[in-house]
Amino acid sequence: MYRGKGINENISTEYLLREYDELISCKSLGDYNCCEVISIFLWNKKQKSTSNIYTIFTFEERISVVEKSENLFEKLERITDEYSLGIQRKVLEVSKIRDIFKMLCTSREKQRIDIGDGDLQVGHLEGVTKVFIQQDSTREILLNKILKNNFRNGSYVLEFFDIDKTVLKIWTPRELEKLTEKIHSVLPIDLFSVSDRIGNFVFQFPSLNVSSSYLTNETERELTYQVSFCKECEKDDEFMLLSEGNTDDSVVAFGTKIFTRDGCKVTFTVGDASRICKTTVIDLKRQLILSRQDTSFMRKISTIMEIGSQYGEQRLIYDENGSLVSTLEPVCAEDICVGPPICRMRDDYIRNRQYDRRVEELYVRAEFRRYGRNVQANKAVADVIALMNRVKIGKVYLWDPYLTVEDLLHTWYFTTSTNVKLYAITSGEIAEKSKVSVHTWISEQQKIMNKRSNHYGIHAELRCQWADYGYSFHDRFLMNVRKDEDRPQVWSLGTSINSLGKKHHIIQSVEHPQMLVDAFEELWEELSDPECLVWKKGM
Amino acid sequence: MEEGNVIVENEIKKDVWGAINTLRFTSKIGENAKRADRMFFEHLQEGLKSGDIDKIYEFIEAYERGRGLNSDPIVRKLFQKAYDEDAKRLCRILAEKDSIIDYWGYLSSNCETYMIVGFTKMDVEYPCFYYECARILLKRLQEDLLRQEGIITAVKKLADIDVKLWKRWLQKNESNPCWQKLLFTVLSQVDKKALEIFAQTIHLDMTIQDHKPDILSPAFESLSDSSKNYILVHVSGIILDRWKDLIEKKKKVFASINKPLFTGYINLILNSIQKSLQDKEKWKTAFLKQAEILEEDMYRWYDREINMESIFFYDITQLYYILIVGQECQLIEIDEVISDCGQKVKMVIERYDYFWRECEGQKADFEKHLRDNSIFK
Repeated sequence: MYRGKGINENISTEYLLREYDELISCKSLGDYNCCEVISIFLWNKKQKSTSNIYTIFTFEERISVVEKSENLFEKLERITDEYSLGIQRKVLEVSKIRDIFKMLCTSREKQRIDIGDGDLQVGHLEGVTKVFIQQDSTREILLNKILKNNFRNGSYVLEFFDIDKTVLKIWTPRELEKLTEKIHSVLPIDLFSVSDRIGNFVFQFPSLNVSSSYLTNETERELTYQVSFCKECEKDDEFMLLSEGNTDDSVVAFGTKIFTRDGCKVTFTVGDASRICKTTVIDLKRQLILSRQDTSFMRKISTIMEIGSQYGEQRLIYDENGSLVSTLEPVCAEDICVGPPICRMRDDYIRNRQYDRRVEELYVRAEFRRYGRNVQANKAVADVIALMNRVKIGKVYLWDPYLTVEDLLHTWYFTTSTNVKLYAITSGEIAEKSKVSVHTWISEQQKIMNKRSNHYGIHAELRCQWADYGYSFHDRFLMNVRKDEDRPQVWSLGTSINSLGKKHHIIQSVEHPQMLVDAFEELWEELSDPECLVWKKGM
Repeated sequence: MEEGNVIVENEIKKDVWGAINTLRFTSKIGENAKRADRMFFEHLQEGLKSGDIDKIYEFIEAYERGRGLNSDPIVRKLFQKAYDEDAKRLCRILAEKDSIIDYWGYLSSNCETYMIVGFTKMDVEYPCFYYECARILLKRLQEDLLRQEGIITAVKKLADIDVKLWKRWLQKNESNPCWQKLLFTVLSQVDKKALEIFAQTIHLDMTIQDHKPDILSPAFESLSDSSKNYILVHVSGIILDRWKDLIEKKKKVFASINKPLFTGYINLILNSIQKSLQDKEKWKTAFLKQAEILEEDMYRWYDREINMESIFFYDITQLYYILIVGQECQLIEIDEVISDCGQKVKMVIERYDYFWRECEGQKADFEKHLRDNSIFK
């Protein structure tokens, strides 16, 4: 198949070094005098080699710099028979880091480097230009889970990105989880949530010098900012404070102020200071962000107070024989709500419109659709066919305990791609309901298929779970496993294919699709016995 | 009715002791009682059967929160008469009932304060009797010295003869301001074992409530030097060890605080630290070590800023206490090492200035301590 692709990005060493020098010397960012290096590595017992899992260089301003090195595990932690985990922490004078950075720049293709503790196996490294990562505020920034204490202002990051991810490929998901848990037990680095950074080298330049805060007034119409520097910046430095309040994709508050190294105290009269406010402090001369945060004031507190007594009255639950099986002490709950200080009546209308729009979007993206109430029955079938048709190359899985060949004739047979295979699982419950044996039912299904189509372009297989083959199931799922997409798409159908649209049900997309795909494939393998085959064509 | 009372009065005059002997205190519960009442009553029965004091007091306290016991004026008169006639005999009769529920029933609703105080001064071999006397006196809200005297006497006897009840008393009344006023007076009179139990039992992190006066510190300070020394000799080692453990445990789980930890027992803790820092060298070592811990902790990795803030304040708390002790006992002798260390501490405080947003007053006070001792300018 044709795959058009651009040339691989290759930032020059000069460019990366220039960025490094710019960041390391920027006094408004920080007066760094040392660097803490955390090196997480894997030791391969058989090959006697060490691989990089993740290394981070964090620049710091320490009161006194004492170079040191320590292992965070007393001895290497066994992960598998072949691999053990180690974590080393070092503190180095800041002047020593540039050479390491330069070496990484020049060794991106070498797959083996030595940053001071012996040979380290690495993947092909892609140099990444500087990126500013803001602190967590109203939103959690996932990348902060692998940075050190990025709580104030934010940090610049220069990175060497491992594009082979060899280390990642050798683990099963369970082994990877175990590995990352072991790391997390000694350091709050969450490589499970940010697994794309495994194998990388990260240089973190935290913004340490600037300090900013802001308040609003009683009427929520003003924003008063105070910005200062802990240490002196250069004489001719110039800075900008940029404040922007947003709601409903509109800018409702805005203000800027240019100031010198003496800091500033300024009040913006904005009209509406109650919204989420994006505050940025910029070093104008160097075009660097010194601080960025999305914050909002706490305007409302809601809580639920539950009151029960020491021995409250109980709810009693009996079985069919009148024996007490369970007791429960219900409690009385009351909601307490304080605020907001100022009400804007328009907000309710805006919120309702946004909700309606969201529901519409969910429908269009087939994330959530409702059927069976004021919606024609054949619309649901048409929508399911449309979902199946989304796959042009790849596989479709259909999982329905009451699925028959008739259902396939009404849905799958209306798809248009000849490159897609359908894997379908049904169950022996239909045979049971029809009071025939599973063998008889299978034979009937085959007779139906022999006369209902010429099956042109069809690649499909239907297997039946029954007796001890596999395990019984209840829910109905449609799964698209597209070759051109990384993640599968899975929908819960809410009802069997044979009753789509006939009663109220919901088709909604599932949040963790891969888990369901894994479960389907597992059951599929368990039904590989010929006794489970209902019908097969073009597979 | 009048005539009936006169008849009873006459009967009382004839044979007080006979009448008292006929008194019975029983408890029962209505058939339509709600579950809570049934549970309390059941636990009372269990407690009476097994001698479980906690279950018995669960009932008593629940009852007191509700209707409380009514007192019968005739029975009150009977008790008063008996007390006037022979207080010791009455005390012995009541104590020999050997039942908390009876003590409660008879003492709380039928005995005046002066009578109960009188009982506490008598010798009986029933520690629960003293316990209940003290408990009733503590509940009565008069601030008079007589009542206080009774509590002190009863609790001291408890400490002497039943360490389990002594411990229970300490646990249950720890945060009671009326008891707090009397605590150290009692401690200055109990033996070594009782003092050790006290040191092992109290919650060293018991907070002083905002806007409420600190009672324990003035109560301790009001003791004579010899009494203070007597207490400290037996408790300071235990308290210091427990305090250090407590801080370590809190740091380990990042128990949240946003200001230095000043507890209700600050005086005891400070005095215990003082006992361990006998000279300038020891003070210097403690100060330098704690400053180093603070600095190192600020270089660690943290999951969340609130964890870092909590560690900061636990470390500052320890430093603060060391400073206060150094200043009070004149253990601070400035040299280059301490001065350098002081500068580091100053830099750490300034760097994490935003941590002090809820307690700027304490920050100013801490810096003042450092400046007053010329640790930094």
